[in-house]
Amino acid sequence: MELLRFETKKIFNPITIALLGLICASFFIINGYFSIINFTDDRSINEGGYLERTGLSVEYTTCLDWAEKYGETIDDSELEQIKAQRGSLADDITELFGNIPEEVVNGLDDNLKKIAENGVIYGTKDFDTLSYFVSDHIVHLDRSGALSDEAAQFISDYSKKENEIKFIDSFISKYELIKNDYLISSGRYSGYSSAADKRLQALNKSDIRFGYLPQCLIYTTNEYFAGMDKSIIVGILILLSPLFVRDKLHKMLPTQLSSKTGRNIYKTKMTAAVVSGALFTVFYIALYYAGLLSVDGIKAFLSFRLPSVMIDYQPWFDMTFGAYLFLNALLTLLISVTVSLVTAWVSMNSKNYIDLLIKVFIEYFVLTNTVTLDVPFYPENFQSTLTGLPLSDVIYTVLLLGAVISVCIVSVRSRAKKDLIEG
Amino acid sequence: MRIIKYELSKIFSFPMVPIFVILCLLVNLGTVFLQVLNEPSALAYVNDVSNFTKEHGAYITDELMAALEQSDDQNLDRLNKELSEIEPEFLGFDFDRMEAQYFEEISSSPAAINLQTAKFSAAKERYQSLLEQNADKSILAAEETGCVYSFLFGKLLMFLSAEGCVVTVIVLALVLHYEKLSRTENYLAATKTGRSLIFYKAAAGSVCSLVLHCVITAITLSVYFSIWDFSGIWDANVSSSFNFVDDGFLEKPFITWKSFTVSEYLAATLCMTLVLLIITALFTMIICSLIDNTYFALAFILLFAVFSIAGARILPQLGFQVPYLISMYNPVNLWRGQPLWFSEGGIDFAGKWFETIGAGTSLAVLILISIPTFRHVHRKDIK
Repeated sequence: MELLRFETKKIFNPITIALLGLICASFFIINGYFSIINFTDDRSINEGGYLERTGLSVEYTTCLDWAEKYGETIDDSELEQIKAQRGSLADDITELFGNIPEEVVNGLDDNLKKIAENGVIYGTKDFDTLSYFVSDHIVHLDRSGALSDEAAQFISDYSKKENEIKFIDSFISKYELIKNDYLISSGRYSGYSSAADKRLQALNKSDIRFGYLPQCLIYTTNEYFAGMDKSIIVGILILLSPLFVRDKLHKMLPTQLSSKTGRNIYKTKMTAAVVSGALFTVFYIALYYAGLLSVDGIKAFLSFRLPSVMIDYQPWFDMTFGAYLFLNALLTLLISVTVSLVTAWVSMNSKNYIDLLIKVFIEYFVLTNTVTLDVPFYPENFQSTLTGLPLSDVIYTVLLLGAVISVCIVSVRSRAKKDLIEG
Repeated sequence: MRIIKYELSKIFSFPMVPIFVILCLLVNLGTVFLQVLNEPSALAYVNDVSNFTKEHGAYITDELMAALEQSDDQNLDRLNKELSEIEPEFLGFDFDRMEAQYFEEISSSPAAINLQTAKFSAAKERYQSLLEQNADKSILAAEETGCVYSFLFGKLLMFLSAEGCVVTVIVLALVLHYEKLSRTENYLAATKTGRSLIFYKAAAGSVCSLVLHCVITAITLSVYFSIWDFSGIWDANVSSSFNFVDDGFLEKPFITWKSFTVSEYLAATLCMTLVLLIITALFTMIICSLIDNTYFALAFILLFAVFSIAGARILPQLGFQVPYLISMYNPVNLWRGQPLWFSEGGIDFAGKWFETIGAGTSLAVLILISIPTFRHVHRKDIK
């Protein structure tokens, strides 16, 4: 136990920790941070007259409002209320265009002015025309760079309402599709295996299919997890790769083997690698999850089921978003134990740092292309697409861990029997 | 020369070096074959188009269109249709709209807008000049240009330069730290060559990594071009109407500062990759000379690479548009912008010839740093 503590302490030496902290922070910026801010794609006019990102996306905020009103799924009566909400937004836009600032009208080109004169723009509910009208005007404003408060307010209000209407329109059309057996009749799912087809048929009979977990939330979460997995793999490689090589280069092996622990040192080092890798992973997952859960209102979606009108992917099981986060963390922990063992094994079989570097490159390439989670628990991921079986990604991860443990046990045993003179 | 030979034999005494090169080749060839498997119809089409343009020229002319009308080949019929349809769009690119969309993103920084305004007005003139040279009428691979061109310049050549840089780091770290790892540093310092050995080591490492890169590149590109027939594409201009750049903001023409044919552009890209490798070699030499511990030296190089990318991602978010534009001249970020080399570079790169200026500056700075570094190596104690 004492030796295990020493080995773990050696792994977490201060310089390595500092280095790891800097590299992982950079990876968070590259892979993680931008996934979270994908939520913030709503735009409004800033002081300079330009559009800028200001808040959470319309899809996310609208779903958040609905979560309070309608619960986790939408039924037909609630859909009527959503349609009424759309009508009210359209009326707001009509009213808004009744008081259109002169400055905005002046920005129109001649064709649009003609349309305006004929009364098509004022009071219209043709949002494609309006959208074109506003976008075109903004292009002109961008070059002038200056805008009155009134005009800026008009364009901000219009953009916000227009985005909300567009989202509601898209939601209604997708709801109708799902209601009309889209899950079992569309070409979208034509390449699915028979197991996935059965799953879709079961889902098609359930009201859970009318969930409305925002698309941006699930896509972003998956992207975020993929980034997290890659960062964890790199972190473990940096942390554990010198485990055996460092002692070998300092000629410590003969001393260690002649101690009381003797040949058990290999087992102890392997255990230290798994413990350190798992500790690092738990810490890293906690940081990433804290980042994700700090997004405003996300906790309201934790009890939502994964199937959603807004998302084309359908999971193997009707788990909640909260359970999905928890299971993802567990799966990542399993992967990290696998990576820790592989890294320790590579370190055990490397002569020096250069030899190690090349092997670590190969290990990184192989692991990130085979182990990293890409939409886990969904039929769309690499392993499930290949086998067509439910949860193939989880089964694959467990089998891989088993295989790696077996290889490590055999290697450690054969090393323990090896003559010291052989090296 | 004898010493360089010995140093080279040390590099190849590590079986993992040739194994790594072979694995790089396998990855490249796997990527090439995967594309062929995924795009069999594109392959047939491009090869037919190339065969046709080899005979009738790589530009749209009346004779070429007349020859196309007479052909009864399915792919050439498709080409005929595509060439007839694209014509009205040739002059239709709206530079004002492009500027407006870019400036919307960098609205917080008037300095960055000024820098980009100058570049975009130069790009506008350059576009007119390319139109006068009929660059837009170059056929390239017609509608499959995106598939062929973006794979070659946006993926395969980026793989090759990244692999070249990794091989350079491995070979130079190996050769420079070999004596430390074998505990022979003391003996060698006492020989006639003494500490000047570092120059031989640097020369051997650089030559070896460049040769290995050339071998990987030659084999990969030979296989690629034996599958994709470029004989009729080589003379096409890269600023063809079919070669649009999609940078996440908008689709725009590929405006280069000099008129490049595909063959010239490929040669220029390969030369620039060699300059990047020399930069990597110099950087690795400096780091490995200053940091004795191989693990920390390698970790520092990794840290520099990820810092460069992370910095370039976070700076615009914090509103530092001008520092962001400067950070894009860093060699790591130049590599990320490889598909845009010799072109106007969009919102991420300010100024003309950003890759040449960036690489030239990095090279000059590293040469300046390497002089005191090598002096330091000559003076420092051997532990």
